[in-house]
Amino acid sequence: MSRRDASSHDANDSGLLSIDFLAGFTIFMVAFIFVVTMASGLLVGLSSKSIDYDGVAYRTGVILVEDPGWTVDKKPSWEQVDQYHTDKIVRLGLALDKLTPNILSNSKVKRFFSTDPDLSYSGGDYNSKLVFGDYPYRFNISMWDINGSKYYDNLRPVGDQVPNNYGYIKRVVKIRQPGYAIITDPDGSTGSSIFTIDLNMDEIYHTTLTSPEYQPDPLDEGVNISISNFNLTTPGKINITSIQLWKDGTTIPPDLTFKVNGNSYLSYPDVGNKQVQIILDPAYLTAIQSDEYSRLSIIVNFDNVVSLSTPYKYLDAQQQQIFIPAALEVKVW
Amino acid sequence: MVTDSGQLYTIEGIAAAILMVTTVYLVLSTTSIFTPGDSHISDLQLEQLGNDALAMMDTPDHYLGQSELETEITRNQTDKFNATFTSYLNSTSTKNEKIYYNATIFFTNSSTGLQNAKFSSYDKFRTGREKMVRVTRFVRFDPPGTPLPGMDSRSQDVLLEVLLWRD
Amino acid sequence: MSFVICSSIFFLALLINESTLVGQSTAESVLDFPKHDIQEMKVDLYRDPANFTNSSFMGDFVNLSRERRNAIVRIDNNADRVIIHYNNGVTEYNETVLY
Repeated sequence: MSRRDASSHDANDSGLLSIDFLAGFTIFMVAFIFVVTMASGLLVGLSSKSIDYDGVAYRTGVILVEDPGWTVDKKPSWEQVDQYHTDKIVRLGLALDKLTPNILSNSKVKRFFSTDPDLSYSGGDYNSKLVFGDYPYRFNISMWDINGSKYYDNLRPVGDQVPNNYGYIKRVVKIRQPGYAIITDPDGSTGSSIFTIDLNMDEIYHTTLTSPEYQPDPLDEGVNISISNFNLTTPGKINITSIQLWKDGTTIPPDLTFKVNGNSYLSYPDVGNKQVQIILDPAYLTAIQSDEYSRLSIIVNFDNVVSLSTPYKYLDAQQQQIFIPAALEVKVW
Repeated sequence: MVTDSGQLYTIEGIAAAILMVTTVYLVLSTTSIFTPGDSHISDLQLEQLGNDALAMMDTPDHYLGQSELETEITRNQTDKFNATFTSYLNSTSTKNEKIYYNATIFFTNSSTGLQNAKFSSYDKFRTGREKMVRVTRFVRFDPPGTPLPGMDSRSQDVLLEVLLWRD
Repeated sequence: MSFVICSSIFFLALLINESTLVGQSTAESVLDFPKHDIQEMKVDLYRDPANFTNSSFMGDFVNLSRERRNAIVRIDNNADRVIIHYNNGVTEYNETVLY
C-alpha cells in the first residue's frame, strides 16, 4: 500500500482516519443506536399463550350470556333442534331474547348442559358454534347456583378436565323459572258462581305487552294461577263443584295433572277465604294439542255466589316471575 | 512473505463484528413472535363481574315492579345490599374469591347541585394493593324512603358507583 | 451486494420487533367500549318508555351521565319515536325506537 511507503515526504500518515474507516464506523454507530433504542423492549414481559385464552373465554361468555342463539331458518329455536339436524344451528346462546342480556332461558340451559348422549354436541360442534377460531380450544363451562351453593339444577359442567393454567371469565346471570299469575280480590259487578279464566294463546304469544323476560310462556312453562281474596256475597264455606277446561269451544276432560291447591281436581277442597291455585303442566297442554293459536278457558264452578267478573283474562293478572341467580364460569385453554 | 494485503484495521474489524452480531441477533429473535403480556385482563374480568352483579340486582320480579336494588337504595338497606352483592361477586364453584368494594351514591340536589354520599362497603377500613375498577348503575329513588343526607326527597334517578378490587 | 441484503434484513427484523409493542390489546378494547352503559339505557327504555317522558328523571340521567360517566346523552321524544344519542368520546351510539 502506498500509504506505508516511507516516502521522501516529511508528513507521515500517523493520526489520519481513512474514508473506509469512517464509512464502517458510521454504519456501526447507526446500528448501535438502533440496538440501544430497542433495548427497552427487552424488558417488556413477553408471553406467548396465556392472554389469548382470556380473550376467547370472554368472547365465549358473551355469546352464551347475551346471545339467544341462531338457527339457519330462525325457527325452531336451537334447543328444539334434534341431534340429526345440528348443522342448522349457527350459534349456541343461552339468553332468553336478544333484548334481555344476562337473563337466560331454562330450557336452553337444560339443553346445553344435557348429559343425554342423544342430545349432547360433539367437540367440533362446540368449536364451530360457540368457541369459534381455528385453534381447537378446550373448554370447561359450568353453571353455579349462587343461593343453593351447588351446580344449577345439579347439571354437571360441560367440557374437559381443567389444567392449572387457563383463561377465565365469570358472568352473573338470572335463569327464568316458571312463574305464576296472581289474581287477587276478583271483584265484579255481577255476582256469579262461575269463574272463567280465558287463556287466549294467540294473544299471549303474538302481542307483546311487556318486556320479553316477563312475557308468559304457557306452552313451555305451564300455567300456574293463584286466586285469592274472594269477595263472598254470602260469607261462609264455599266449595268448588266442578272445573272444566274448554279448548276452542269444546270441553276437554281435565287430566290428573290439573291440580287445585296441590290436590287432584277430583277432591275439591274447601276454598273459603283461602287461596286457590290452579296448575296446568306443559305436558298436559301438549297432550291436548294446544298450540300458539288455541283459545283455552278454565271454568271453575263454585257452590256459592262469589263476586267474580267473568271472563277474566289471563294476561290481566299480574305475572310474577321467578329468577334464580347463577354464576356462569367459562374456562378455556 | 507476510504482507499486509487483506488485513482489516482493528476498529473496522470491531465495528463489522458488532454489526454482524447485532443483525444476526435481531433476525433470530424475530423468528419466534411474542406478544406483550396483557395486564388489563384482571380489570376486564372484574369490571364485567361488577356490571353483571349490579344489572342482576336491578332486575325486578314482575313487569314495572321495584327491583331489589331500588328497594335497597330507597330504604337504605345497606346490610341486605352487602349480603346480596358479595354473594354475587364471590361465589364460584371452585374456591370463593375475595373481592372488596366500596359503594357511593351520586345524586343531584336541586339547590347545591351534584353531591355524593357513602352507601355501603364490604369492610369499613379495608384498602387493598391491587388496582380498582369502577362500575356504575342508575337506580330510581321513589319516595317514601330514607334519603341519604343531602338528597332531595323527590322521585329521582341516582347513580350508584361501586369501586371493586381484589385483595 | 451483501451489504444491501444485510441492511434490508436488518430493516425487516427491526420492523417485526417493534410491531409487538404497539397496538391495543383485547382487554383494553373491551374495557373501552361502553357496553354496559348502552345496554342499561336500552333496557330501561324497553322496560318502561314512560321513564323518558319524565323530565326530572331525564334531567338527573343526563346530568349524572355527563358528570360521572363522561358521556353525553340526549334523548329526543317525538310523537311516534324516541331517538337516543350517546357519546362518551370514544364511542358514539345512536338509536331510533319506533313505538
